[in-house]
Amino acid sequence: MNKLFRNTLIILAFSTIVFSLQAQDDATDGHEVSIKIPEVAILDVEPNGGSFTLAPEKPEEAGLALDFTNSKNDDLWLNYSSIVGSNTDPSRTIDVKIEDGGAVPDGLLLKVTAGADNGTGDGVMGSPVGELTLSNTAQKIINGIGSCYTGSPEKNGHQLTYVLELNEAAGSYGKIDFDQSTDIKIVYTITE
Amino acid sequence: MIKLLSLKRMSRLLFFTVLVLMQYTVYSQVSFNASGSWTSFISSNLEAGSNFSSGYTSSSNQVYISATTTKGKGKAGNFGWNVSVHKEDSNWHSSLGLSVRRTGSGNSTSNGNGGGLIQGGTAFQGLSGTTSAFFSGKKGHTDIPIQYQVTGVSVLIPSGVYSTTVVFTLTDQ
Repeated sequence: MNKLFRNTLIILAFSTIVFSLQAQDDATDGHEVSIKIPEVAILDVEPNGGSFTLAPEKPEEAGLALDFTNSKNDDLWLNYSSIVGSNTDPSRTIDVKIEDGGAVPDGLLLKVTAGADNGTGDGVMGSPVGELTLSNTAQKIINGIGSCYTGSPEKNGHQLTYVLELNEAAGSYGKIDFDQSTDIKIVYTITE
Repeated sequence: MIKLLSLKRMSRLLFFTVLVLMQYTVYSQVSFNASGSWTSFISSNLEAGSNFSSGYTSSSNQVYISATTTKGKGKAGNFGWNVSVHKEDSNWHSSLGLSVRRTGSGNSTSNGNGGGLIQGGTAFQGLSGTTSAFFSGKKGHTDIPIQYQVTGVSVLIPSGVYSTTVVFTLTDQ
């Protein structure tokens, strides 16, 4: 009887171990995989560090005005990459301004036009607003940018066309002063 | 005296009978465990106008799987098992693709007993909501390394965190 009792205890003990082992795992297991797509809002003017000079041509005949016909430049391109958040930032815009401290010489106007995206990238591209007269106040030049990329560098994205013109307002020609020749910096900012 | 001997025999008989049953239970056991997870943070450091790289790969041992089956003794089984895999999306983007592969064989738990074979699953295979065969093996293997690859990453996908659960299922052969 003692052996029977002892054997029964041993059996019960082994049974407990077995049931404990079986409870640890089963035939199915899994885990989570997460991909975090970051918010992106970056832009660039290409070629990097590009600069140009706009200057009206001297008149060929005494008595004529400065010739602004060739006072334009379209060498630069605006590239950007954007990922919007459907709830927090559904779209972005790009603003443009003359950097604080810079100014267009008196009697003249500096205008810029962003062309339509040239289609080498993908996504929801922004829409240019048309020609703007630049000042020290930021103005929207491209609206409605979604998640997209324009491609990089030059020849991708939006071509920028700058034009230097005589201000049509009365008395502007008399304000032109060759001592006001200056360097100015144009700043583009994409909203975050 | 006769009665006592019968009790002893009955006791031994019962003891060994239960032990054999326990052995059968143990040898029928299927054990499976997956440990680890993967969170891929896509860097926002890219050239203006450019897109993300499409594919991102985890470390070669991002997740470990342990699989054992002792089925075989007392039955016609061969200690073999199959692992299948599928994913269960919780917040996943349809443009993203997820693939998985086995990068090693882990550690065999049957040293000195012929070792355990493990084969298949070494090439990336895409995951879907439908279970598909992944790899197979025999006897016990722990710490089988698993690697993931995500494709289709693009700035065209809204920012956010996209998650899915990868489910491995072990079945006896």
